Amino acid sequence: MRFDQRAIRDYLLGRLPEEKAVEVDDCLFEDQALSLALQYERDCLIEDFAEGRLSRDEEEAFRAQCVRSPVLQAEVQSFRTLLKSIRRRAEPHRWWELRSKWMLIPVAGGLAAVLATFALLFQPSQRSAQRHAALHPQVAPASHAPTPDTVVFLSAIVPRGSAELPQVTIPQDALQVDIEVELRGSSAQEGDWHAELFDGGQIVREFDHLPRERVGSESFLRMLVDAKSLTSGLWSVRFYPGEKTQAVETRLFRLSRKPTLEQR
Amino acid sequence: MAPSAKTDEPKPRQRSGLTAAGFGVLLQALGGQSEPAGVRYERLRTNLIFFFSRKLLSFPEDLADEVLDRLAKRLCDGVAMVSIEAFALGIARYVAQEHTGSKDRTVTADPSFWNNIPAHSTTSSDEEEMRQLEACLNRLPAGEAVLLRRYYLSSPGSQIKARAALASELGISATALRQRVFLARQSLRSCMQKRFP
Repeated sequence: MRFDQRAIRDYLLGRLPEEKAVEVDDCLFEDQALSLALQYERDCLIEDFAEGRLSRDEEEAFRAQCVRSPVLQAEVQSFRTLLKSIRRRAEPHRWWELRSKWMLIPVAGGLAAVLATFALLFQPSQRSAQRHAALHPQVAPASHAPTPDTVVFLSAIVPRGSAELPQVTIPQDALQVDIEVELRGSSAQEGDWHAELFDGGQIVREFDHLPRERVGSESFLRMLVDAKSLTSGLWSVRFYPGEKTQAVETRLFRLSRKPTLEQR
Repeated sequence: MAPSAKTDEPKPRQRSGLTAAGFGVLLQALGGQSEPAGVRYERLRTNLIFFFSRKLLSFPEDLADEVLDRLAKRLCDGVAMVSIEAFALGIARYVAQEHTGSKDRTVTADPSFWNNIPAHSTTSSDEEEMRQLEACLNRLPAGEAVLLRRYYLSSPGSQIKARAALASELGISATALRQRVFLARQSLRSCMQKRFP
């Protein structure tokens, strides 16, 4: 990126020299990554202000921004409310429960990975291509059927919280993508599901009343998505059965578009 | 099963300049690329707010809406645009010149806002917002909710150490940790906007 964190922060605070600020303006309206970097830095500024970490100069500039923007004031207040809410809920016994669950995630993920590896070795699946796609950095297999032409299978064994997210590559000329999310555990018996597809933090599509699909012993949800709406970046699928919002699960993945031979 | 494209249809904000037809034309112009029109619209508006904020102009959100109104009007008039974003920036620069005087205008803020210390007591509106936040925290993926709690729970005195330990536990850098927290906050914000607009 052409601008470092210092420059971005100064831009937000209105302290970047005009010549440099104009450069940022020009890039900002063309570069999605820069826009996201600014949103990120703005959140950091709000957090640093609320937690008293801004330097004197920064704080003065930030206060001046607040004075000009009731929306920014509201965002600061909203962040303070979030802090209050989190701290109010932090009872010692609950904290321990959360900590335990948190620490179990990689262990459970590792265990599931071992079990799934055995399953792959000794019980060839009817959906082995899709499993393979979920287990390895992948180019999603394309079927010969006219729709969908690309399948993305998000396995349940991807350890949540892992530093390495699954990489999904979709051919540039794909038209319709079948995103499939494997279901595990007791909730996999549920027949009626709700799912949400996120581009970064932004919800892009919602799917109501998704039926559970089954092939052999595998249960999964299937979402057909227009490939044009799938841009490179961080994506996630959030899903839960019916109204049981306490049983929400999420699969994160990184998506990239693969150029066709003609485009290379 | 009928998928619905939620962000394709953002509601026009209450302002006099933008008609429903104009808003439709604007969304149509922003659509058809590799992402939903609603996502592109929100990013354009956010960028405009950044622009007016850095220009030190008051009410940057209103000025951003002013630009979008004028942009929609130009589109309705049949003006051809190579890049909608670049055209919007051009209008924004013009609007900024018109409003240079508004640098001196200020918004009133409750004096307690500047104390920067969350009050021990909570008002009924605080309670309502906390109730909404908690509902959304419960809807977040478990990993994101736990991440937010762990990141923000540490007391100010031990914050740096606690966050370094959290990053180390997750096997990521402090910067990557902060980015994950940012994404989790975006999810939370998205939930709040969707459920409690």
